[in-house]
Amino acid sequence: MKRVAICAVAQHEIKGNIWCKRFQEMLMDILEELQGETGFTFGGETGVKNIITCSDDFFDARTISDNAVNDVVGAGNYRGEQKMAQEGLNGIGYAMAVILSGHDDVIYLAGHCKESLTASRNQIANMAYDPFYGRCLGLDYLNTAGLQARAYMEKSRITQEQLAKVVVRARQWASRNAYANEKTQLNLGDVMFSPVLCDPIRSLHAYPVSDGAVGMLLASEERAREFTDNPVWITGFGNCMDDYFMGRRDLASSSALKKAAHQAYQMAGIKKPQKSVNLVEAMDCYAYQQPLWLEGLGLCEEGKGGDFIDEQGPARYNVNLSGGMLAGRPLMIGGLYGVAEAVLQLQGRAHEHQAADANCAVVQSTTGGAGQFQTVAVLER
Amino acid sequence: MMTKDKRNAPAEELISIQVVNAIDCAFPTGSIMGKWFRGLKEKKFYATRCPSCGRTMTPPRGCCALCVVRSEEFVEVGPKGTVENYDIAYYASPDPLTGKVRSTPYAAVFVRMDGSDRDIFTHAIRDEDIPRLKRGVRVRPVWNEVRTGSIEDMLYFEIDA
Repeated sequence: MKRVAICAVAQHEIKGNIWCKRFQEMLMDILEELQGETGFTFGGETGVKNIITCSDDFFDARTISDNAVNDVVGAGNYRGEQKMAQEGLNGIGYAMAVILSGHDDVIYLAGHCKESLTASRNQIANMAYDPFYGRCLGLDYLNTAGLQARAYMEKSRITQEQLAKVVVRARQWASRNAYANEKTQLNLGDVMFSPVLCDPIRSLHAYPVSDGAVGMLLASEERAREFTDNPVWITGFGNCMDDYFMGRRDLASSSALKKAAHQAYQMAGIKKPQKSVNLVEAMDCYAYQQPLWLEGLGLCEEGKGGDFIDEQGPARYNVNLSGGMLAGRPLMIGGLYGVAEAVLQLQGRAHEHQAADANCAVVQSTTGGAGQFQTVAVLER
Repeated sequence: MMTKDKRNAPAEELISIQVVNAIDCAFPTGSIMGKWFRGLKEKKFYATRCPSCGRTMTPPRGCCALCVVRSEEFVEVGPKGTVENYDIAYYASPDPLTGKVRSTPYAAVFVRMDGSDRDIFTHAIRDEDIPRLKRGVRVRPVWNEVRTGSIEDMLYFEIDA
């Protein structure tokens, strides 16, 4: 099968409130950085003709949110543009489909999200539920995560101390990542005795409010070398949806993630992920999700998430050397940031947080309450 | 599968619930729109000029969509301009922000500001001037006495005659 390359990535520094810039201005910075690195242009015989954007109508407070950024992604002068109205990692799958189908051979992909625009991101998440029932009950991504945390922690026998280890480690790695949001160092006690948000989730178990923008240039195998000497290949992709209604789901086990991962591994020709995968970017919005998603990805044995943390499993697989979601990434583009990080790692350009000898990375992302929708991509160099 | 008759039959149990969707938001202007709003407070219109094609953009944009380049050079345009197009609305619709229904008719004018290039700035026209509206007519801004740095700092255009 033909391959699709990620030629270059650009990340905006993530902050809790980038009040001095509109998201359009953040995307402009990303575009200029990528054009500077690769020299790509728009239009003409060889320039970019199709663009994929990722953004969220509710966070941007306007419908068809991509219309408001057309100029700063190069689409405003009569070029094709499609919005991925899902977690940004799916934009990678979409770009891959465009290129593999032969529809186009170069794609500019950019995403943005400013969680700080809203008084509470929980208000946005509440809007994800139906107006008759879920919204009235006050469901949002935080309290549905609370339900899942309780179910999963009991099944996999995860303690508050183990969750604290996950958070402390995330902050340690974040301190080495120039783009990471929250770098304040913590000890186990800080996490274990932080205020309860939604039992058993404590405030330091939850990812901080984050603003960011991220972009990348993708190309066919034939054209990748025009833009880089160091391409990273997308070798696997899969996504999978679980039930909208919480009561229908087994929250302690991520069936959707297992299916998405299976698809991605199969496409990449990976039979034993525990042997092949040596870098992971998982979308751990809450501390309990890191071991849960690693179970779903087949890297941690089902129901053994607690032991996995104590036995240095996250270090063995180079999980979230960026700091991950726990160090702060915006919802909807957390997975795209994961791709950007994995590309830098595979290119050997992650500087202070570079993994040794990583050549096969898995990026996982999720949207919806308690990981309803799951996406997995495999990247290799 | 239901028969077509059954699908279209009125059902007594149908209930409609009324919901107001409200999310508290704050929108920082950034430096480009910030300059525009600060200008309105001082009765000035600032546009940006594209360093590549030279066109002006009113209100200012930080990126020329045609050339896809950063455009942060400001030029002052207006305050008078020429009506290039207009629309007159005769239907009543509530303002989603205030719930108030506008009096009709009301009109929006597309104005090419003096000193600007091909770009068009859109604002309201004074209701009394609607009967005299036509393409090519000259207009001037009418300012709000209390200006806070918002689009309401300018009340509307009026015909300059």
